[in-house]
Amino acid sequence: MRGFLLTLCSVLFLSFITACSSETSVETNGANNSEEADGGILKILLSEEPSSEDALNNSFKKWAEETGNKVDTIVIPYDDQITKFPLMLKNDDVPDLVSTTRLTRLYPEEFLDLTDVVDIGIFDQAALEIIGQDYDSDSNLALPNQYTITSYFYNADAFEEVGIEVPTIDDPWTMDELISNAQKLKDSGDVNYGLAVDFSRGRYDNLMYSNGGSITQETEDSFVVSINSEENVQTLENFVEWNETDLMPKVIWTGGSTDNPADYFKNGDVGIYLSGSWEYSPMYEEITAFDWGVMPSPIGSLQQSAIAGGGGLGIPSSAENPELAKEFLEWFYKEDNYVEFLAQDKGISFINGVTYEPEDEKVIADYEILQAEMKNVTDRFLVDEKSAWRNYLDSEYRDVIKRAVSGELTAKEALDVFANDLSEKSDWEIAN
Amino acid sequence: MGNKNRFSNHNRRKQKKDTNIVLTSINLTCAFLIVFPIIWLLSSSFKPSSELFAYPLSLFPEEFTIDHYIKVIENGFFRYIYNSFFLAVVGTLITVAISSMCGYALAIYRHNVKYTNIIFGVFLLGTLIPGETLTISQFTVISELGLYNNIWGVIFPVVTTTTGIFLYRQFYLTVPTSFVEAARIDGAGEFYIFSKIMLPLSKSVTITLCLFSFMWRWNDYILPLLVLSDQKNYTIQIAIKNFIGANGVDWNSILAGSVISIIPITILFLILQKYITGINISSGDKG
Repeated sequence: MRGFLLTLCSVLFLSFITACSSETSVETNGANNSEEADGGILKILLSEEPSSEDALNNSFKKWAEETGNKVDTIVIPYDDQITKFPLMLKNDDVPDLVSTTRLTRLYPEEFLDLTDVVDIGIFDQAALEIIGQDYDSDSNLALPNQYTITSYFYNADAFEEVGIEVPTIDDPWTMDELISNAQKLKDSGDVNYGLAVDFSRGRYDNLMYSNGGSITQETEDSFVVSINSEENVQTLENFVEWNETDLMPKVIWTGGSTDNPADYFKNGDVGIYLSGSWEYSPMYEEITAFDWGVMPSPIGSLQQSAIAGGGGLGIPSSAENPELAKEFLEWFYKEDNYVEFLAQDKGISFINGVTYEPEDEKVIADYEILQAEMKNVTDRFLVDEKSAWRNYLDSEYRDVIKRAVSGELTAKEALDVFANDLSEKSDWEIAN
Repeated sequence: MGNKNRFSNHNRRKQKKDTNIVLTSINLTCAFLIVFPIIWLLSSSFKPSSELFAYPLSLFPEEFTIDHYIKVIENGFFRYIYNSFFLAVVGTLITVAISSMCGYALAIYRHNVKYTNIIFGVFLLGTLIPGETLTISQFTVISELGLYNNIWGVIFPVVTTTTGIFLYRQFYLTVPTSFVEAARIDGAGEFYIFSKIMLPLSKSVTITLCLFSFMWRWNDYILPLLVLSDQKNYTIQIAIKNFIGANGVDWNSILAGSVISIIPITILFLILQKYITGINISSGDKG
């Protein structure tokens, strides 16, 4: 009897999924991709499954509705794109449009120059350079679709409880003040951690740049490696200490967990959170239990620091429908369509003079701070970007920081290891 | 003397009872350790994102939601389950067919064909090569055969498994050759002997291999990722990984997707588990 019931259950389950998959297939073909499309089919590569609120995906849908074309999205996880994209090239099976943060940098010869597709002059030049990551030529292989800036989020309820006044654009904190206030927040018991930083070199490097450090320095005709400078060692020592004293959730930077500090912040467990503007929209949708906001970056021993980044849209040269992809780009950067995209994305504008007007006063105030952070992008960061040191080593940098935080290496040892490796790979000398 | 015996029996019963309590406690602890993460997974999949990492941790959701399930299903998750299921079932059927025939040949013809043991040795040597090192060459062959972005390109490269061949060969070695000889005298052909006599005898091996093979195909990630480039052909493991983005991880969707993905394996195991136990019993009898 038991066996019969199990068999019956399994047959019912399998019939159910088969039926549902057929239904899904029909729906997918109707809304997303179809061989019976009136227009063309634009094949798009994304790096993660888009949610229903995803602004870019909604732009694709709107374009398809308006033009009668269809979009066929393929998602390849961010980490696996480097493995998969060369195989797609080899099999002549590349998408028509790629949303990427690095493929155009890694395979520049495989992408079309988009300089003449749209008027390049409309873009913020810094955004174009940072997202395109191509400092050696005049070509534009990726046009922006997301412009982001690192930003400090704070738990407004916890601040109020402890009596901490929020810094302003005109009167930002020093790094010492930030740490001291983070400690107060932790000591009050309102939050478990005073400060959290994403497990990303893109966030950590702000501490380095604000203290006057950098990964490389430009010489007359090349670069030198400066990652193991005294100020960088001091910065890393401080960072290790904040982790050691549990001011920060140590598990994040020792790599002992896949937890995302954004979730800690959203749960009200963190007082100050260094992340990026891309977190704004999800936080706005998800955090309802407490008030929160964005504050200016603190001044280190030298300056404030923010790191700009983002993603772009590129067209592979061997794409089947490059003209359709160009058609989409022309449509996407038209002012009306762009403003609608930006309002959903709640990101930083990358087109000169075009922005959106948030309806919520809180968003207006936060947006002003996010936009003001753009002036804190340091020259040191731009030099590091120009050096393209990540073409030689990339995740290895975060790994040595991780080893320092976990106590496996001292701060100096960790940065010396990375400096030597980078010097060896790049043929750049180590700065004295 | 009688009192002494009674005392001794009482002691033995008490000792046995104590041992049972200890063994049962260990069993329950182990069962708890195994089942608890699954319960946590199941429970967390019904939590809203704000509760997922909330401290203090709570096993059950305060606010029960099925939104994540709706979201992953709307994303076409059943399509991916269907693809995975097709891949696992067809792959398993071919694996069982090849492994059983190969195991039969290596065991039954070992006296007639003198190189069978050497061939089997070569198969075993193949297991020393890590599978990952074969990926590039496998992919090249798949491309050259025109099976790129084709579900058969994921099925064919892995249908031969030394584990399966080994299991069948070792089982058929325990079957007296007189079975085969008697059938031959009665006029049975080789395929008839294999399919009507030997294969039914090795039911326990077949079930075990089916279960393992199904799990291998179901959980395979690298090969489908490399070979498939049309989202409609994606398998469940790729679909789950797609919720990990550059700037964050959609844990709710991953949890809901994972729960859905373990249902078929669980059903299969519930149906087949008694046969896995059976392999030990029948092997013992034959020894």
